[in-house]
Amino acid sequence: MIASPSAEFRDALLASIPNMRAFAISLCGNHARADDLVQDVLVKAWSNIDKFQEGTNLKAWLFTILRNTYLSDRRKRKREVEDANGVYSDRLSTPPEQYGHLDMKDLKVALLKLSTDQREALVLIGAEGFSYEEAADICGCAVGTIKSRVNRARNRLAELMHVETMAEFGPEPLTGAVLNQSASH
Amino acid sequence: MTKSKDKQPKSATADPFETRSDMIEGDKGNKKRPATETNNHTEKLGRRSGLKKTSVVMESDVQKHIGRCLQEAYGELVSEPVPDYLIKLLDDLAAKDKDK
Repeated sequence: MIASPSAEFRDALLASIPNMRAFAISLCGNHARADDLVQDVLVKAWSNIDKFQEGTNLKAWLFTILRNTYLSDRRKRKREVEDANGVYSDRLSTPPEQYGHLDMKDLKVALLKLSTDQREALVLIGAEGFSYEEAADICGCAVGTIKSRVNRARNRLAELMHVETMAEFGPEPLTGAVLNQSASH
Repeated sequence: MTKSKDKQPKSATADPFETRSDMIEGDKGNKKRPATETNNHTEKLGRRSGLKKTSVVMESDVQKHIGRCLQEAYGELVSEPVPDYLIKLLDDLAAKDKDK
């Protein structure tokens, strides 16, 4: 257990901010609100440092605080309706005008149409690189539940993006380059 | 499903978009099957979902591609500059603690 906050802890928190911001933006879809969330997490982490077990995963601890803060904030505000079916997001966003051209905008719109449970599971595993066990700890559920949510999330993403075959992907410079590079090896 | 089956270790580096039998079937897919049954399983899956085996393979490619796009989009968010006021907040917290 850490006795008191140190410069080392400050540096560790600072290094975690970019990932916390990215996760917060993924959860709430709003940069300003995400920054407010990260600010709350930093203050909570600092004042609860005695609860952090040194040697354990700081990032997972911070993500747990972030997720709980987000959910608690959402409950308090009651401004955001749980969007399990994506109905609300449908009203807010424009669906891709043309099928077959996957771009980042499509992906971001589709991500926000996922339920919070599915989105956080997908981001924690697929983007943050947490293990299933770590993601389950962060979300307070069973490993099998995380697997199931990731599976449903990725299938729903493909569905939302109207992607059924690789041939439907449009040219995409960066990932195209990665694919070409892989193919040439 | 028992808790012990839930706790199967998975590597953080494993491709989460790889189409695995346990992912396809969600929680129900944790049953161990002999390796020789894999192809039969894929065919059964295809029959159940109305897809041919090639479609299942194609789906795997699509999921991998979406996975790459997700990582790319997320990477863009991570690489955004940290707002100054968050850095200042940490400095203030550290300074306040030092004064105690």
